[in-house]
Amino acid sequence: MNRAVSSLGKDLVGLEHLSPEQILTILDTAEPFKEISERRIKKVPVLRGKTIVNLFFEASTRTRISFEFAEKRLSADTVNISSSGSSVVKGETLVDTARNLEAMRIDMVVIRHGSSGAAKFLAERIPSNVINGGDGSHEHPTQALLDMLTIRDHLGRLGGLKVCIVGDILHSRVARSNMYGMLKMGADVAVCGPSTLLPLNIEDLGVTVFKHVEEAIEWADVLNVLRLQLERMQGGYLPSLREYNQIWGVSRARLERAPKDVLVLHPGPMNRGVEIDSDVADGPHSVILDQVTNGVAVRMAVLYLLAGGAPETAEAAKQGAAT
Amino acid sequence: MGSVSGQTGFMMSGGASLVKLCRLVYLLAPSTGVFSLHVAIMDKKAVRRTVARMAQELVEHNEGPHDLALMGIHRRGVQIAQLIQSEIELAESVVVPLGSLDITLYRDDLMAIGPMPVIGESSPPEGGVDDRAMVIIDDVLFTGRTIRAALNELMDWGRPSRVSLCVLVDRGGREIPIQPNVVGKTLSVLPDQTVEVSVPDIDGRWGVDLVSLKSEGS
Repeated sequence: MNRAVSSLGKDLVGLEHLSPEQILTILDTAEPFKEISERRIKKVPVLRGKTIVNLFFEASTRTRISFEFAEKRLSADTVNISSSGSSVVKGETLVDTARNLEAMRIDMVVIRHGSSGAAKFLAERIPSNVINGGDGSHEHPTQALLDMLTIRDHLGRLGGLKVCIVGDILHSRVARSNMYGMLKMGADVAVCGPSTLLPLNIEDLGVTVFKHVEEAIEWADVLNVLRLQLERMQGGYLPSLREYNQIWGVSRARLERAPKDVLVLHPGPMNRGVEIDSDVADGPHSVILDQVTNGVAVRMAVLYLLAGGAPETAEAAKQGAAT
Repeated sequence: MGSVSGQTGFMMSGGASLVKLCRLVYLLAPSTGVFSLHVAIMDKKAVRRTVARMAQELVEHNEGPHDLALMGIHRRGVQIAQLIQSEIELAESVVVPLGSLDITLYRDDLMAIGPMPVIGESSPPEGGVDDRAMVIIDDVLFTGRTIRAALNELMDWGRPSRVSLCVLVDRGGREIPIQPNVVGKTLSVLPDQTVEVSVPDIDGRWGVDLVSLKSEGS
């Protein structure tokens, strides 16, 4: 009962620098947390007395609510801060906001921010545990972890699976975290999307590039369909949504032509009829709602593991904050 | 081999015949001067006999097996619970529902022990815990803190009609007021001694040992 798990350190900023063992630890720890959400009293006292701040500088429903459920089911006290209702609109800097929160004796911060690197920036400056809830187009580690947990639930493994990420790879932190995570866990990873939405030299990461979604579907065991970020339409990356759907959309007809059953994931929010058709999203291949259920368990696991903490890194951050 | 002196330093409630079962094993670590002394308290036969009696007492205590449900505490308590379940089935021809409890998330020292421990599986018995006579089963009862945690977890699952506690070994040393209802064996244990229960799934055998840690010359 006293076997300890491999430590995650102070923060979860991304999957890029985690070892396969650490990722496996999070996934395995998430398993027993699934049961807690099925109880009549959905609460365990493990984080009793811990104060967690959800610092969301960008719009979010799923991630914020999922984190909040995870925190509450572990008995932590939570505060939600969004940029619109806070002193951020008065021009307060991120570090000042965080240090003021620290002065009120908090234990953990979950941050969602529009700038890549915001989570790491904060983690280096405050002694509280920092969890990245999505930063710019950098990483969204808990999303990739819940994707991996869902895939493992349905297919029993991650190693050796063929996983293709479809859509806007260029702007997607979900794509980046998934690529790092799935490659570390031994999966074959591919990406598929319009060339305007693929980063240059993406092959260097060790992923395959498909030019046509039909080829990707034929190859893959798992399709992770990303949201087409409609706000990108202004940038001239795409001619029209209708054309995108015709060429890149995951439709039932395309899935039926595949030689084997393909598992379909989507991180949400979905644009039905753009990147994914309704009969796919609600169809037998889709595990989209399982992803949402697993999201709470994965976030509970991350909070639990970080709360155990690595005191020495917290100490280093405290000294960094003083200088 | 250094010479081993001194007494084994344990007392048993079970009577002199059990001393015949005792097997002394000296494990010496010459470089450190620390050795552990293993004294076998119960072998497989003795464990089975004791567990059979405990099962009988449980059924008697609850006036029949029909409302009973067993909860083994992760990890060794689960296997003792399985043995009790099969003993009740032998005697009463009733399969009593069996669940398991992992108390990790309810520990009172979780934030003090450093890296987080692995969490085991918790599963309520078939049919839930409401209006059931629940029996918490563990291998060794010591401070009582594990049982405090188990009671809290059980109450989060529902409202049992009654809860009783059944342990293979009560070694004394309670830090909170917890009292077992059914006990396999009571041992008086010195501060430098521990009780080790072995179960087949984890340790490869059934057995109860008293382990003394001593350093050379003490």
